[in-house]
Amino acid sequence: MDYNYNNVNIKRRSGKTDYDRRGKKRAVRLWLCLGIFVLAVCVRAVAPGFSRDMSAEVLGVIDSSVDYRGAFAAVGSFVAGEYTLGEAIAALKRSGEQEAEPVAAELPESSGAAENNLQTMYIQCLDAGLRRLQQEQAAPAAADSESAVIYEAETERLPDNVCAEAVKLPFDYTRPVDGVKSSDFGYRLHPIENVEKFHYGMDFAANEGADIYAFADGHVAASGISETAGKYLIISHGDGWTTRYFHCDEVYATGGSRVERGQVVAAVGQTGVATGPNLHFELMCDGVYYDPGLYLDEQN
Amino acid sequence: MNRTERMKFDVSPAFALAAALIYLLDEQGIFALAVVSAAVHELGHYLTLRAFGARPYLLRLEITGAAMYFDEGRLSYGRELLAALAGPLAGLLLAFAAAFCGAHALSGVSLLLSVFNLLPIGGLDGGRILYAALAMLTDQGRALRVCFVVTTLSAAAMLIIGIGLMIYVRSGGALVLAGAILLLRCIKN
Repeated sequence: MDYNYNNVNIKRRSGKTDYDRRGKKRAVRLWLCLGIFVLAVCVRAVAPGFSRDMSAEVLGVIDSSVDYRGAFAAVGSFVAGEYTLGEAIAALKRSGEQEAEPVAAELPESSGAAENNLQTMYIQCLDAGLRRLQQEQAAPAAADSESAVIYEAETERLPDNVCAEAVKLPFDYTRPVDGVKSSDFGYRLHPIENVEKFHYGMDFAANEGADIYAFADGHVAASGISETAGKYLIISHGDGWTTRYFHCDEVYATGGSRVERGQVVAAVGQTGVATGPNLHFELMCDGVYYDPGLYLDEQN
Repeated sequence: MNRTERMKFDVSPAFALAAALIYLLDEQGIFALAVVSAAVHELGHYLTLRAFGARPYLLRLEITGAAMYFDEGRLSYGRELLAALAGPLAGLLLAFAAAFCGAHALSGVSLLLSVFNLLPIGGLDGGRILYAALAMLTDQGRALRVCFVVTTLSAAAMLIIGIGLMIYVRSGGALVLAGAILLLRCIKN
């Protein structure tokens, strides 16, 4: 059994006790950790842009949603003999690329019941705590909160569910947030995934917690949480028109309630897949996306 | 007899926090599957140890893993090897049974747990099996040294592979976390 293992005060032949040696080891570890911390502070102070890019990339990599249940089920199916090895590997690959489907489903179709869900509360608490740790000190610069690269769409076909015309809206509307436009509607280089994608809405950079106003009169069609959109809100304005508000910090309006144009319905955040606090705003009619930029530039 | 026959349980605070966090973040019900798989695994250890008369008396859940404490002096190396093997074996049986019953996710979780535990890393069953096998062939001191080297190398490899996968295949951080925890264990000892 262990003879002197626990008695750290016995003097060894070197004249030192185990406690001294452990203390030295501990001191070395402590100074090493302190050194790393100081280094991190220096990097952040000297090259803030670089450190922000790096943290966005790391978060993007860690946050990649993996369908774990699907992956495990693929392995189980192989064990059960229902999948061949090739099929199992293909299924594993698929689950790595797909978004995890929450088993306690909170799909965008659910209207407002998500608000009272205990899980939502826990997630809100976690979110608030995590965000306090990640808080940016400076006001978000427009160029940093979103990549503002827009590609000329002349030579590229618009996706089928997009309408580029400025249709007159059958209602009065207002600016959804007091922020700076950081990303237009249309083709752009996706800020995190670094591939060219069509941007179906408009991004406004704003301070975390800034008010988000209802675009027009209507009622809340849905609110909830998704892994890419974060906390979102969908307002229906009648005649098939809806507006969507993504990456919210908080959604105040509850499902089904009536809202007025300009009413504060949510707060700006960076939940879901976002590089900084911003409102991703979409304008749709009967499943067709419209360019919010055609309407919002007139207002101011 | 200076110990009661009843099993005692102990949970470290770090483990409790980590478990709570995982449970909160778990949207797909995998936490329950993991608990069931782990329970069957430990049951395999427990029954085998009892059968060999090693009197397991404490199960401690730490953030570095679950540890079952027993009278080590009462076991030969061969029996220690078998007892260590019994856990993953029970897990594999569960995996096949679950697959047969159509519970594919449970089968996958249990299979992963068993295979992971068979890795030659100290603290895992695989490390224990390696140690017992070496101790039977050579002496205890050499077995310990070889195990330490193999453990550190394997844990470091896991960490590196995990990081590589995370970057290139975007597979998520699970393997990195596992590698980091195991490596931490080595540094601690």
